Amino acid sequence: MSRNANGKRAEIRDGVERMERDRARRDAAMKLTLHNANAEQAIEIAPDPPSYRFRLGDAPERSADVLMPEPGVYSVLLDGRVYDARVEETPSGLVVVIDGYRFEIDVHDPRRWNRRDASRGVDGVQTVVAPMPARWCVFWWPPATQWWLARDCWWWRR
Amino acid sequence: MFRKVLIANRGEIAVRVIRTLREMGIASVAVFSDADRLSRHVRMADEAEHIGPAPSAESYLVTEKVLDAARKHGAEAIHPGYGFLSENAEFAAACEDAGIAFIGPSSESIRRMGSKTAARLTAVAAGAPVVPGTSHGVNLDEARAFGKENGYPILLKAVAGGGGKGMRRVDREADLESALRDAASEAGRAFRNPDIYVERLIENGRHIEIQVLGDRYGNMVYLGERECSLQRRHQKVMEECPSPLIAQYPEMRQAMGEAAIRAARAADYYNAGTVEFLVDRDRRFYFLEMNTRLQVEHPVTELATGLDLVRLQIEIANGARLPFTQEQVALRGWAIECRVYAEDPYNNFLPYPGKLTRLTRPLGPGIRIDGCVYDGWVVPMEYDPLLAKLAVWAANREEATARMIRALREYDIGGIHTNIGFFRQILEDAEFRRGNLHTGFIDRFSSAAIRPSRRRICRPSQPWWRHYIL
Repeated sequence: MSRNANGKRAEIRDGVERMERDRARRDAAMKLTLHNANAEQAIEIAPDPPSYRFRLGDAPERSADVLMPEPGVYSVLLDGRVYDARVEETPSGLVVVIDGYRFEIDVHDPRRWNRRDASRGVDGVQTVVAPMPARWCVFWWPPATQWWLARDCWWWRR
Repeated sequence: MFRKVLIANRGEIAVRVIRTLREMGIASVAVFSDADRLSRHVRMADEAEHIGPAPSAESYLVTEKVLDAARKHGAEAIHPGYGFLSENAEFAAACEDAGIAFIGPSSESIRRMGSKTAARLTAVAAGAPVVPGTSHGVNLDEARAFGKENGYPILLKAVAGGGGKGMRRVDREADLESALRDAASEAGRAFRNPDIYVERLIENGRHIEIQVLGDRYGNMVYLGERECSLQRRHQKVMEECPSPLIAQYPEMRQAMGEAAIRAARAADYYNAGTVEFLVDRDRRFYFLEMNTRLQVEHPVTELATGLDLVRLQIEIANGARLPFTQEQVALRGWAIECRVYAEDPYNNFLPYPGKLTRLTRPLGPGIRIDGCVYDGWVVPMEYDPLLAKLAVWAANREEATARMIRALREYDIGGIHTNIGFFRQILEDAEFRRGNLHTGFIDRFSSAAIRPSRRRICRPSQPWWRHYIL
């Protein structure tokens, strides 16, 4: 009984370690396109715990510390400056409020393409669901790491 | 004027300073430890710098880390807030050496008044009455000798102290050794200085303090008094401006104010400071100590005088003159402040860190909240569990008390224990209403106070043992 239980635990531990290795390999950069006030900019984002590396257009790569203190609020620490970004989804796109200033942003994920979307265009907010095995992780990962996943999802959804 | 100021502190005081900086058009730099990345002060500041792990001895108390952050961000001045490095003369001197303005008095004034024993000597030289005590840190034998000579109870206090840390009441000689050991240990942890001195304890005295403000050109005023007699474990929990006692005997204000200015002038003091007095039953007052920084309870003075003390501190540090004279200072109305803590007042004020699951703040006329919390914030266990300072202003004490009760009824914090209900019980107490306050008030009151929910559940018809089960 005890040996079985130990064996099961070892199996779970191996599974978790395997998933973490897989996840580390999967942390490749995402390329998105941002539309804000008729301006279009490409952004490349890569998770690099506890930070996110990103590159805007051809600019050099930078790193930002992003945490979510409240639902819909992201505290961003970037180059020593702090921003509280309040993000809200509206029918016309994402609205980000920073220091009382309001930015309306469309995010396009080029990977989310299918024949139906192509036929009707891809404007507006795109929902990007975290691919498997991320959903698995919700069940298998210890609670301390689940918030990481939740945080990742925010980026994935954009 | 400064263009960028670093706040060498955390929590509500850092938020308070950031607000004034923002109104003055000055950029703010916050520093934070591992435990504070998501604290309100970091989120509110324009810039922020990580300075180390959660223990304050490895982050907020490390002079070099704070100065490095100031240099890195190009801050021209440092506001120390209260606690941490605010009364550390070496830190003020290091700022002066680094060419960064210290928003507070000179390092020399802090040295003379920041050390409680040096302050006593300075006050005596300035002609201010002091409570009988030693003029230096003591060992066990010296403390025993003082107790024998002056009788018990006596009070052990940290030479570099403040905020009730390193303070112990000793009622008999048998308790002296352990009390001295505990006090020295606590003082060493809090101030990096374990020295303890001894004072005779004046029982049930009133703790009344005078806010002073001076510039670098010798001008100095006192901005009325604050009644701070309601304390638990030697830490103030509720303050008023003006004092009910001095409102009854207004001639005391001038006498205490002038004594405070004499003591401050003797230390060549400038910027904001507070001179604390103990008033006995015969209305004789004794110099206790001088706090060479902004006090936690400064909002009640701001509400009663209409001044922004942080703004004045910054302007004075920048070389400005005092913009008013003593004759132009007037107290108007009545202000009361309650320090809302994450603690269980019905369980020996045990700190209660945890996650806030619900937060509704009081609003409406005459309400001010200096706080750092938000819905979902986790109160860290590494620091003082002060959540907010709730202050009210009204035309007189009776109205201010009624307004505070109303505000406390509206204040709802979920997920943790707070002392909000306890404050309501105090405010409804007949002795409090009469203004009969003293430093033993809370001890007497808390021994009689009953947890409100339990009082509602227990009914006289139930057998006695049911009260304990429920």
